[in-house]
Amino acid sequence: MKKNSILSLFVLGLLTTVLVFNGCSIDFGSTSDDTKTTAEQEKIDQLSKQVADLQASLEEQKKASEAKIVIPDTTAPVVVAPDPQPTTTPPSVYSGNSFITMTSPENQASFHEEPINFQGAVSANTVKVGVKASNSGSTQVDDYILQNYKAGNTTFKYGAKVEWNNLKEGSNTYVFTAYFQDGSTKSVSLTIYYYVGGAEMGKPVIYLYPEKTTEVFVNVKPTNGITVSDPALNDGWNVVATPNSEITNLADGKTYPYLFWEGFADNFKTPEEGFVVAKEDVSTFFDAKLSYLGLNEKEIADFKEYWVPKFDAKPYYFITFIDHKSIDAYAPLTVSPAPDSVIRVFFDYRGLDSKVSVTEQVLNKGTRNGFSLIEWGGRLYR
Amino acid sequence: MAMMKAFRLMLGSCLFVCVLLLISGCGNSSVQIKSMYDGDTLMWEHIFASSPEVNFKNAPLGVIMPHHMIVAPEIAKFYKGLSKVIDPDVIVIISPNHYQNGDENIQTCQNCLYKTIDGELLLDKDLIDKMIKDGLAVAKDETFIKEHGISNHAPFIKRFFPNAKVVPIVLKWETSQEETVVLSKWLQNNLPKNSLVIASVDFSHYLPLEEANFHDISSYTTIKNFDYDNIYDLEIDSPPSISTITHLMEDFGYMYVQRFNHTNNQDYRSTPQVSTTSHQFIAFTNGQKQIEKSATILSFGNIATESSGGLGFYDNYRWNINSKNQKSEVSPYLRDIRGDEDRFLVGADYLVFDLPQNNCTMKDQNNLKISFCKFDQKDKINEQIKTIKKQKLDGANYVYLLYKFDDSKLSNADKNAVKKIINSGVDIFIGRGIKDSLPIEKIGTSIVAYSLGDFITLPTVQYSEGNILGIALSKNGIKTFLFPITIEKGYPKIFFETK
Repeated sequence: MKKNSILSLFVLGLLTTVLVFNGCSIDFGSTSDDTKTTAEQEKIDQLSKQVADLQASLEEQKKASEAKIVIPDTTAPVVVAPDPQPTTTPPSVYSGNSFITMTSPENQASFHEEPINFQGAVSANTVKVGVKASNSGSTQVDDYILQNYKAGNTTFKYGAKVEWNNLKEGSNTYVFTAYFQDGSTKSVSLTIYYYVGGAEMGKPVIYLYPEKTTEVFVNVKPTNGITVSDPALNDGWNVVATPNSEITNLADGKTYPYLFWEGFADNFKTPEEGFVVAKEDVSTFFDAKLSYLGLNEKEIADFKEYWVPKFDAKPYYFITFIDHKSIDAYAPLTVSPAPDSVIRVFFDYRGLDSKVSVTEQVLNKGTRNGFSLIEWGGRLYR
Repeated sequence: MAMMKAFRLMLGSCLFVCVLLLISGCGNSSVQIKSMYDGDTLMWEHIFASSPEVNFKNAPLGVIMPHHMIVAPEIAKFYKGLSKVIDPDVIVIISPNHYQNGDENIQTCQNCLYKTIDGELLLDKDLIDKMIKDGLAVAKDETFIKEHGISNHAPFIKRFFPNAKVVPIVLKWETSQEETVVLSKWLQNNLPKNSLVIASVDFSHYLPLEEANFHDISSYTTIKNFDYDNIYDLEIDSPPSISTITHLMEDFGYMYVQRFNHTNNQDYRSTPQVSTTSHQFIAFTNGQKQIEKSATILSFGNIATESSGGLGFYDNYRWNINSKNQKSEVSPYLRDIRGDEDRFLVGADYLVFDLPQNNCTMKDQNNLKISFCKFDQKDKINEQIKTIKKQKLDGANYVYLLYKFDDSKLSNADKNAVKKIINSGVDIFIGRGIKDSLPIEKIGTSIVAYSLGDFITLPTVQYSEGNILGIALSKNGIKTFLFPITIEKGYPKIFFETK
């Protein structure tokens, strides 16, 4: 009897557990007496049968669930077909395993084009999905909670593009993390390789026009570093500049028409307002705008020689100029002695297949007076 | 006393350090040059792991490889294959001076410090110094800072030939053939036996894939045939680099040329690109040259006489680097079709805008004799047939005929006349005068283009269309490339559908 009593307690315990796990509750009364009557025995048998049925049912559910779920390996994402109809209402209690897995792309994939589209699947008890992106194995380029992902969705998407600052040339590692209802998290990571063509680069250049030949110190520090400079920038340029911008670099004694640098800026934002220009009008567009912004004929010619040939692939272009304050934030400039006027022209652009309507940008007329520093450059898309 | 001893020891140490610094050449400031994907070990290991390696049956002394990093895995496979058959002590790498930096045509670097994930590349300072001392090249270290033609190869060299010492050389666009001959002779006399010469050169630029493929035919056969006269008319980014390596390989007797790979960045794009770059992976091994008979011709449609601007026949069109304005040197009407650096026009061996009337001119290209003729339908057909037959008797492998029709519509009688002329020995027939572009036909082995449509119209014509026909002749026959064009107010332009 003692043995029976222990067995019945165990069965009751199991039944209670199963029922609670399924979100139900039931009152079984007291079982404090270890002596069982026949009626009690019948009740136990009945309950045992219920337990067996429930166990079988649970086993079936579990098998069905396991058929869909693959526990992700964080080093090698497993491809699982995403649920085509994401559920939007999370169940009050989730009975399956919590998981996150990537559907595409494959880990270690190579890319030559952007954007790169990521797709993944998560268990229905996921409340949010975040992603951390890093470049070259160390530099973090993104830390983001997916805004279009709603709690309970079983799939998620994420896009990476150079323009969005979450993709860079070289190796890029993305760690996707699912945050579950119970507060736990699981992550999956994958590394992709983004190949770019080569070294065609933007060309910010600085002209110095002091009123008389002057020794000038110039330094520029784009937020993500200098990649190229000519003459070599090192800790700044110490130069002697003439009123017509003949610049002698004191470090090497050589003369330069301008100071050249290239680099990367963090958190670059492209203005939405700008101009839509037909390809054949790009040259005259820059004539007019650059002149208005304060560049002289030679500077405009230098600018156009470098940039206009790049406007050849599309019938129209959206062109926008970055305001002076933003340029200063992206690439702070130090000049000593301080110029009387500083004109920094920097533009961004993208090709268009057809003419679109944009809010026209209002530009501030550039004026040169006294010792002028003039700089032009643009954003380069490789 | 103890203090004195310590002072002497300190002074001695200082002097020792100073002497060491002097010996190490600390007086020269090294120019640090980062590679692409600088410090990105994951990326470089991914590139280096590319397989399978290229299988070289013989050890090359010279190679031509691109520096366009879109094909970095292909470059890795090539280097990996090379490392299985050679282990050079010295590597000379010759690249275009992309940014035309410095005044001197031939420049080298004395203090370049190429940083790679495997460490710094070793320079052969002795050879570099000798090259400078002998007046072959000028040290212009700053030129090399931006020069990706060299820096893009540094990680590969360091990985696959870690002990090799490198001699970097950049050549400006203006470097003449004579200068490249002098340079190659110097290299022949001064390179140690166990050397490798790399010409870091990309091929076609700024053109759609079809045009690039057409131009690459001429580029490859010119190299294979050591056709020095043609090298400077190729549509590539550094004729002087190709001139140097071909002359040097001839001097060494390494004239057996093999191409192992031919790629284009279009291969890596999902949509057609208006501007592509092509790459050829070529090796020179010990042996005789294998002449490949080949010639390429670009044929154009109707040209309004008043607008022709004197366009005629061009045996190798050459871009004038000093003509930076938008007006073509040849005709202002080529403004929209010439492409950046005149690339569309540069890459063919012959451009046929027009030919002398009732005349044939024999040309020789890569052991192919081509007779270029022009007749008018008005003239006597029997005389024309006689002249054509004579071309073949005179040794022409191919006869190219530009034929002016009387009418702007093609009749059956016209077709019959053309057939007669073709049968007399014409291999390429290009009709002029018919307004609309007509499909290219084949009569026997001959190519017949009754009309390519318009090429240059009068400025009063708002819009028209036509085709430019690229023809590649080889021992295997004739291959054609059709480039559709549109013409607006007289100006032709390559038609490219953007998506």
